Amino acid sequence: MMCREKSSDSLPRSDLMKTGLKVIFVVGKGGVGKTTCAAALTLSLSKSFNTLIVSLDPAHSLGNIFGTPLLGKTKEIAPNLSAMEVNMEHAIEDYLRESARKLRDMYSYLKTINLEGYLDTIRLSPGIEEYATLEETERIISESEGKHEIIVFDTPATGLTLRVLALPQISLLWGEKLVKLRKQILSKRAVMEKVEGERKFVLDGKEFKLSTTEEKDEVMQELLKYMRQVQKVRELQVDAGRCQVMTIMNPDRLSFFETQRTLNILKQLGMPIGTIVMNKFSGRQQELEAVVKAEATFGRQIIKVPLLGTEPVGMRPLEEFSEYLNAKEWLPPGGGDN
Amino acid sequence: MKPISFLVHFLKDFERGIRSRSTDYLAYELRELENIFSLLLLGSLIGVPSPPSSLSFRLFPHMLREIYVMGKRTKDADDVSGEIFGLFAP
Repeated sequence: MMCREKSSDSLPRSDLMKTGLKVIFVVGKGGVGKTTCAAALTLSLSKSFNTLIVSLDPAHSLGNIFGTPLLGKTKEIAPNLSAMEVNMEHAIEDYLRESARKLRDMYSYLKTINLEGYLDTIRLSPGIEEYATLEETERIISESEGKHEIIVFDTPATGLTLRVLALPQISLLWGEKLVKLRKQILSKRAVMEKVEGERKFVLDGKEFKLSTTEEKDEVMQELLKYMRQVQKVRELQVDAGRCQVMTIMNPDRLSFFETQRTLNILKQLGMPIGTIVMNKFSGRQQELEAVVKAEATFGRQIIKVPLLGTEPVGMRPLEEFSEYLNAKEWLPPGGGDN
Repeated sequence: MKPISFLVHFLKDFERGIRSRSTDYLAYELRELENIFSLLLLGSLIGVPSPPSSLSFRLFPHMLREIYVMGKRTKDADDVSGEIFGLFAP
């Protein structure tokens, strides 16, 4: 078998933690073994670092791999190793409930409208799942500062993951345009106020003052707050010292093409592309050719993990599996040898 | 009324008229900007390219004024020429 030799070196702590929390996104086509690779990698990293693995996939299997329920809560499953499966249904519900509360506060005259029914429809509108995933990712990263040293995100199938990863950049572009437009509105309101005095408008008998400064304008404040949050995620995404995307593929043509598309999009997003793993590698001539082609196309060495006779489920099998992944190579730069 | 007093009154009224006329244009421009702001955020409902829904949802609760203006603009949409010519009316 032409696979990487098992590696049991302990990982160097060195300067790794000087730049704070590290984040690894494990991506790949559905069924290639993302969750298994992510779990094995996390187990390996936990020997040297306080590590958290989070499943963002709505079709979770992390709990099955570790053999313990993980839905919706962080659980310490081994020394230095915590795991959780994000309950996306709850995340979306929480998000919509909070939106509904804000809407109710502001649009009090809409009390007669059945807001709950309306939100049931919004739940299915495009973009909600992506945003809920991004918001959960951001929340987990913020809450993990100082608690964990490395977070490994096991992601959903490529399509959804790429849309989530693209969201910060798209949101920032839109945000910048909207801030510019809002500034124009506020400056014109300020001119009007100078000429005509304080301006108000009345709606259903209630009087509302029109804000003229950025500090007093709720829309501008919310817009800037949103941009600060998104900017934080975006900065992390493009920081090769803190973030890496690890790609898992299988030795077949469909997997190759999807990996190629994924890497192109990640490159466009400016995200640091880390190790590529070819999982379920049996060593046949055709597969060896696939590896050569992948290495030439992607410009990097591919880590080969053999097709195992039994499923790597549970701690011991995962530990054996992890020996094929040289975890040192999965760390973002800055975690090099002393 | 003495000619000088008449002239003062005339100039004051003229200045008030000019000021009012200038803010009419500004108010119109401002309403359009507020309307465009809402349309951009809620445009997906009518097929206009929109920012991610998350951004729209975040701002939506604070956009009472803009949604009010958008509603009003929609109501007046069948009389756009009336509104424009109204700006030039004496």
